[in-house]
Amino acid sequence: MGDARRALSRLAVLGGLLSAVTCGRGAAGPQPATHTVTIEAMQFTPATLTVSSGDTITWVNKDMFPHTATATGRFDSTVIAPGESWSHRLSSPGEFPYLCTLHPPMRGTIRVE
Amino acid sequence: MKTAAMVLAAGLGLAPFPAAAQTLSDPQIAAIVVTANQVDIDAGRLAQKRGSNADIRKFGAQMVTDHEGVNKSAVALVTRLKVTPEENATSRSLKADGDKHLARLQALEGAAFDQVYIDREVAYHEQVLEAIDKALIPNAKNDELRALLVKVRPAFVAHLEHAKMVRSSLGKD
Repeated sequence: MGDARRALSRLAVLGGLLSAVTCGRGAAGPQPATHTVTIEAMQFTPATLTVSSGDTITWVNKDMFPHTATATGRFDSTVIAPGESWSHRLSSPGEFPYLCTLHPPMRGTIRVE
Repeated sequence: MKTAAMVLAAGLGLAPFPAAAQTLSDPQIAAIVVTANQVDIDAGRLAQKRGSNADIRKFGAQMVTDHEGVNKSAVALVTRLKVTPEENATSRSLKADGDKHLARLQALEGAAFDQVYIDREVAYHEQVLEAIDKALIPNAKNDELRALLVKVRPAFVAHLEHAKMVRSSLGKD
């Protein structure tokens, strides 16, 4: 009976250890992160942003005029007024060039890994 | 001796005024900024209604939105700094020139309107950029006013590029 109990308690400890490890950060995969792209002085900063699948990107308009973050067929913020922001979660991996439809010279790229 | 004001006037295709003209003060710079924006707002309003090509109408509407945005920030700043914009020979010439251009546009329609409008937008933004670089930023005494001019500059660059893009799509350049 002592053996069985010892065996059981070892199992319980082991079980406890296992659950501690798998419920800890990193063991179940990286937590989704939020990234910021600042829109200011007619630029997206950073111009190229690499994120992980499932992450969220928030575009913040710090300029004096409205802008958009548009990747036709993929995502479209529509108009982001000065001071406003827009968030979008990207799941599919790939490279997504985008622009501001109001100011076509403004370009950026999101890379989803 | 070329004063800042003479550089500005010459750059904008205007007759340079007397050598006695001083360098620009902050109140004068403020008046020039507000007037320069207003001139493009007025032209943009006309283009968004009368432009025959959709890209011209869209560009005109964007000029209205963006230059109104800049004026809003400029007016808020000078109000806070208690700087009263001071009309001067340069701001008056800008206004007069802008009015002349508007009158010319009013008499046009169709492709001719579009071409004259967009050609002027390219030239105008080039000239205002030169004025910002050579006269307005170097003469601004207040740090926040200078910072605003520096922050606004990329908008004029983007507008210039955008105007050139629209102009090419009209079948010219």
